[in-house]
Amino acid sequence: MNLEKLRIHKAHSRWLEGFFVQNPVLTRGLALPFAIVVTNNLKYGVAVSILMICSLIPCVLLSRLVGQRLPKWPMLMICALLSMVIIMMALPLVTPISAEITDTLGIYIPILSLNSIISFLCLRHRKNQPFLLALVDALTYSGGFALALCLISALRELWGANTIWGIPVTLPLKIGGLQIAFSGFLVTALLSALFRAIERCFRARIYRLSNPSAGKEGSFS
Amino acid sequence: MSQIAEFLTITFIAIVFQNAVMTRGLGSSREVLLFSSNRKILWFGGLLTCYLFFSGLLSWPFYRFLRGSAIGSPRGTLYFYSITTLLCCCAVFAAMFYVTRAFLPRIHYYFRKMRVLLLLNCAVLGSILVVFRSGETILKSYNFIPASSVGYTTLVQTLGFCIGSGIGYTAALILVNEGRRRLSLSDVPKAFKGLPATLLYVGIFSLAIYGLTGHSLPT
Repeated sequence: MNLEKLRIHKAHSRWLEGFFVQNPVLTRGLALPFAIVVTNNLKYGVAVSILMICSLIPCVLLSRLVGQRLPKWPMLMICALLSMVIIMMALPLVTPISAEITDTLGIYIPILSLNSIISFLCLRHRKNQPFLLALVDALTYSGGFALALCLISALRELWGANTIWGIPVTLPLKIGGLQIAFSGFLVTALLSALFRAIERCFRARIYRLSNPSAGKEGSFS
Repeated sequence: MSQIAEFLTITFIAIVFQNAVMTRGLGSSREVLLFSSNRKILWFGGLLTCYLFFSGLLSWPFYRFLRGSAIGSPRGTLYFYSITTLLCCCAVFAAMFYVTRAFLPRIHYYFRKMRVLLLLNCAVLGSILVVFRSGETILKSYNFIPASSVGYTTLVQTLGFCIGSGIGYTAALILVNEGRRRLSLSDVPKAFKGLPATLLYVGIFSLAIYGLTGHSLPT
C-alpha cells in the first residue's frame, strides 16, 4: 500500500485546509449559529463574513503573541473582548451593504465575538506554531467561513425568495420555507455531506493513482 | 403572585418556544452537539444554567442604567450593553472558576474540563441579549400581560429567561444525543454520518417547534 502521494497531499493541503478540506462550518461544524440563522439573504452572509474576517485575524495573531504567557481561559476572554471591540468598530464597513442590516442581524452581531472558530484557532496557535502559519490559518479559516456562508445564503435566497443580492431572478420554483431558520439546519447539513463526499472522492482518487492495482471501488475507506 | 406567574411563564417560553438551540441555533457547535453521554450533558447544562443566571443577574443593572440614561441611538445602546454584558459574563466566569476551585472541587473538575466550551458559548451572551432586547415583547407575543409594563425588561423576566434558556439548552442537547444514539444504529450513508445527520435531526425538530408556536409555512 503506497500512501506517499496521500501524505504529500495532506502536508500541502495543511496550508490551505481551512478553505475547503477542513472548512470551519461545513466540515468542522464551527460557528454554526451564523450559518444556520442569518443566511437567508446573501447580503447578510457577506456582512457577517466581513465582520468575521475583521475580528478573527487580530485575535489569532494576539493569541500567537501572548498565548504562551497566559493560561487558556484568560487568553480566550481577552480574545473575546478584543473581538467584540473590533466588531463594533468594523460595523461601518457593513452598513453600506444595506441600511437596516445591523437591525436585521440584531444579536448575531455582538455574539459573533463568541464563536467557536476564534476559540479553536486561538487555542491551536497558542504555542509552538510558526507565526506565518497562524496568519495563513486565520486568513483561510475566515475565507472558508465566508465561502460556506455565501454558498448557503445564496442558495437560500435564490430558491427561497427567487432573488440574488436583492435582484429578482426568474426560476421555475420558489420554496418559501427556505427563508425560515429551521431550513438553515437542513441546507447546512446537505452542504456538509456534499463537502465530505467531494473530499472523500478526492482522497480516493489520489490513493488510486498511487496504487493502480488496488483501484477497486470501495477499497478506500 | 403576578411576579411568580411572570417568572414561570417566561421560563416555560424560554424552554419550549424560544429554545436557544432549536429556534436560534445558539450554542450549536459540533463539540457540543456531539456530546456522547447524558451525564456529561447534565453537568454541562447545569454549569451553563448557573453561568447564565449569574451573568444575567450581574448585567441587568448595567442594561437598566444604559436604557434609562439613553446614551446614543437605540442601536448604539444595544452595542453598549452588549459590551457590558460580555464583561459581566467574563467576570462571572472568573468568579465561578475561583469559587469552585476553593470550595467545590468536585464541581470544579467538570468546570475545568468544560471551561472553553462554557466561556465561548454564544448561548450565554445570546440569551441575555435576546431578553434584554425583547423580554416584554416575547411575553406579549404569547398573550401574557406582564405585571407592570415599564418599557424595558425587568429583572424577573431576565432571570426567568436565563434559567429557562439554560434548561432548554440542556433539554435540546439530551434530545440531540438520544437522536444520535438511534441514528448510530441505522444504516446512514457515509457522507451523512456524524454532524450532517445530527443537523438534519435538529432541523426537523426545529420545524416541529416552529409549527407548535402556531406559525405556518409560507405559501
